[in-house]
Amino acid sequence: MMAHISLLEIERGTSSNRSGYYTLTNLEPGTYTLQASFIGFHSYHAEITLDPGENLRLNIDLVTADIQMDALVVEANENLEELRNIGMAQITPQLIQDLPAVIEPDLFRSVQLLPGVKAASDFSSGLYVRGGSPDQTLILLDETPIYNPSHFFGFFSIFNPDIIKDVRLYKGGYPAQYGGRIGSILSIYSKDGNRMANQGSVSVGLLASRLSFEGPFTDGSWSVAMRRSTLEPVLSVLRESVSNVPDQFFFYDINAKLNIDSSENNRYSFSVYSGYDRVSLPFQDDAQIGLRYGNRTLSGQWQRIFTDHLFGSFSLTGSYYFNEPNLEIAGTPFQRINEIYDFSLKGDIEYQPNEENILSTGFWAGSLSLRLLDRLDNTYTLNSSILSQYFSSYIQHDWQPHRKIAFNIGLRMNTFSEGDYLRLEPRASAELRISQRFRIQAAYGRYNQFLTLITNEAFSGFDVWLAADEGVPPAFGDQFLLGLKTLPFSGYGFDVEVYYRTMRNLFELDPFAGNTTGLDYQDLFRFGEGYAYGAEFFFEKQMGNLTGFIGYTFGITERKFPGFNHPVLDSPAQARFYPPKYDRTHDANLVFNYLFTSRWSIGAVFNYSTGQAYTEPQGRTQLSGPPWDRGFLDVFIIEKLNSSRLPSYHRLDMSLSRKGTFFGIGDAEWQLQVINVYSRRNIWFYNYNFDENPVKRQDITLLPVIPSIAYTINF
Amino acid sequence: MTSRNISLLLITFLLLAACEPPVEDNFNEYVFVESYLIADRPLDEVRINTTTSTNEKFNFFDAAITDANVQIVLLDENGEDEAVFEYVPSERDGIYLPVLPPHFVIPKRTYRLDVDFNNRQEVITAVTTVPDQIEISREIPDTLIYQAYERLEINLSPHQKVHDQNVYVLSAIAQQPYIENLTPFYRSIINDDEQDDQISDFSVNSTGLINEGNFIENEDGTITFRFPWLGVAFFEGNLIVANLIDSNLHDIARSQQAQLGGDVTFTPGEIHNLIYNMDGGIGVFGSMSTDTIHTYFQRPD
Repeated sequence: MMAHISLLEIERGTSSNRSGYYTLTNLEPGTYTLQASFIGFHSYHAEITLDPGENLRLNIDLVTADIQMDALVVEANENLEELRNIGMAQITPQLIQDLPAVIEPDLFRSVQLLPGVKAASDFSSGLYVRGGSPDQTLILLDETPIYNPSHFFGFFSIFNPDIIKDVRLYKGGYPAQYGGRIGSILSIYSKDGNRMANQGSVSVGLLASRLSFEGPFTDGSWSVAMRRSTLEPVLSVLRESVSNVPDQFFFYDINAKLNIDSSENNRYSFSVYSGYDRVSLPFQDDAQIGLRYGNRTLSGQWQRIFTDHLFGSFSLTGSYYFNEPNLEIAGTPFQRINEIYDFSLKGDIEYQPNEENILSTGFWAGSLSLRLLDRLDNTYTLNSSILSQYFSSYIQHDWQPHRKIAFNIGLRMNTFSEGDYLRLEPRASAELRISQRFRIQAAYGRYNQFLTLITNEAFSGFDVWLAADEGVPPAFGDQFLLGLKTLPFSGYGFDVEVYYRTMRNLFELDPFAGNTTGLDYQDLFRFGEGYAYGAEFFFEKQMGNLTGFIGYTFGITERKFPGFNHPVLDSPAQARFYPPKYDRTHDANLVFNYLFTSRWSIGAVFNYSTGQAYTEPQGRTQLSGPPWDRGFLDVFIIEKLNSSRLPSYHRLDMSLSRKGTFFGIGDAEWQLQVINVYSRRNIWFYNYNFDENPVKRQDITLLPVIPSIAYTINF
Repeated sequence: MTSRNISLLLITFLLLAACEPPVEDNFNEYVFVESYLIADRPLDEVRINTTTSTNEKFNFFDAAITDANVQIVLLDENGEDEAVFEYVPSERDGIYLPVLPPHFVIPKRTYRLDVDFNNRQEVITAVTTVPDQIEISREIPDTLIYQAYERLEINLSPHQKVHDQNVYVLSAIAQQPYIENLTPFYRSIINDDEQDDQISDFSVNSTGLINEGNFIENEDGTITFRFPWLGVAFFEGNLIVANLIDSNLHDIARSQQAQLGGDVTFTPGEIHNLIYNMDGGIGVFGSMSTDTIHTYFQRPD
């Protein structure tokens, strides 16, 4: 994890890298107080003494904040302040568990509360970061890409809250070390497992339940977590009185991790994830719809300390995504098979010759196979198969010429064999540390993306990925960021960031493509551009009985594609910018948790945001034909795409928790939650009944008030 | 930064949050023109009306334009006028008919539609190139058992490509469209309150757009398409119609499907205009060729 390590007497500090490796060089002999802190963990203090010429290696095991420890070793809830890097945000596992949530505590629902991150709807856990669509965020689980991070068709994410150790969201302007998307990166690391003792937890919810175990292993640790929906009893009851209830409707996921510290300088870890969603629904007579989709990942990592100044980390990853909807109506089957195999080798080397300089380099090489098959009536209507080798490498220099000034300069190179693309990405950032509590930061970066996602904001179960190829060049964009990071008072943080980003050569499936059979690959796409800008404010209280944050985002994002949203009588080749549905000018979140006693706590989340963009049809007419059909066809005339706004969205969720024990076996917690406390009927979208004359508009609303209860046992 | 400053800052932005962007759209009236040419058939009617606000009830005859000047022009290979076919208003408002003698639409030729008005500014033109004539092989079974292994296969004789790609639509027209003749799936989706309307809709059941890539190319130059069982809404006698459509019809059909939610990539609430291929107004001036056969779908035992 990326903890902050400092020597208090001389105000020298550094941050550990993603693997937890840190170095403090050129220290005078003497005695120092070393502090290590990381949000969500107890701060660590230790007195160290350095003799002349001595190299001291200090391994620190931070302890999560919800575990009570010896006060001599750990000072709980103290000095957890950490100034963040530009464009970066983090979510603690504890926050995910504490927040009121529908069905399950959910990482993505928690991330959506951060400034700059928006949700499409109550039903979608998709991440819309700084005006980017979900495919512009690379999601990594233990360094392995995840291609569909959702269960229940987007309702919540695949990440079991029991396995999450660290979550880092790079909203933009990230350094050369990272790449792959033009927007952001969400990196999730799973728990290593308890190295001291065996422990476990059971959580029983109304709609899903979880079970996890962890413990020590010879020179290491292990952890296993399982989660499964438990909807079957509900479905069984529903079948008694309601028609069209699914035959099957479930999801599960399994995570496992093994860590081996083979020597003082070598550490290995292996992690596995498997997740699966399945639904099968008969409808009407002679019709059935089914869907199965999921992800499998496997990763192995070797971390090596070569010398006190040279650190390396190497990963072998494999990711498999499959999505197979099928539909059969009146003896006519439709089947789709979408599969991605992504195998890669990553390496990162970090060299810190002195305290002013860190040189980093690395590579990411892999093989990506995407297959998309559509069959209608047992005949292939689309057969796309892409096998591409990709290679990225970077070089990066962190330079701190003065203790108040720091620079990061880097260059990343990407190649993609399909289409023979080579793209360079310069990156740079600077930080001016006015004081320990006040920093000004700026960053610029260019980013490329070789993949695009065919999805629907309302329903991510059918997500399909397509890749760049000859005639389909990759999307790219530039990002400019300016940030102000402050710690105004002890235990408080206040950050401001402004951003501007471009999105060029966006390639998406052409919605008017119609029947795609026989089309050339490039004819499947439309190519466009976009931009986004905004300002984010984040005020956080990190310690005490009352913790939480207020986030506010002012953001604008627009896109345009030739042939879309042009003035009605103008050439279709023209286009005007329009806001996507998820664009919200104002978005504010209030999140707090108050600890009444050591047992009782209350939490609340309030969100207010501008209503989403939608298209209001202005005019109508009818086609009397076409000649092959019977009856009139309604035609609607649009002046500007998505130029109207739904009513503002606001919602309050609350939770009440009581901690206790479970017959002396372990700790237990009751959680009573109420989603949408005052039952605001927020509008999801308007449905126009075009069969009515004049047209009738119907409100399709989001979640009503939903109470739920969960019980968790830790043993 | 003091706590007072921070509070002021937060209050300012919360006030900002109360400001919502205004709705910007307004209704504008457009002239809508609709005409179809079918190869080897006489020129057909041209319909002209204005669009109306979605808040108002739409009725073609209320919105009809009666003072239009309409003509269809046959173009030569150089795009010059070869023959002009005048239209006159019919007894029904907004519907214009060609002046006799009838002109039979010539396959593979290009036609232009010209429309202007005595009391309006719009000058509307559109162009279509008529697809090559198609012919369905008559060698098909007289009777097929519904959902049996043996399927109805449509064999089309060789024909030229006059557009980027050939796009077809197949339809089944029921000859006995009675509720007791509905196939099980269609029977189950009939709403009793709208039974007559729905049966009427299903009596002409189309496949949607079929690209040439969906057909099997045979060595003799013919192409074959297996008619899906989903296209059969009624048992017993059916006319099976194959249509080869031009790019204007292809554009209007695919965009009309997408406008009403036929494309899953559009997010809910995002509605797009149709692709019109018309200058000065909106609508469709399309062409197609067509052929029809007959078969009988027998109930399975």
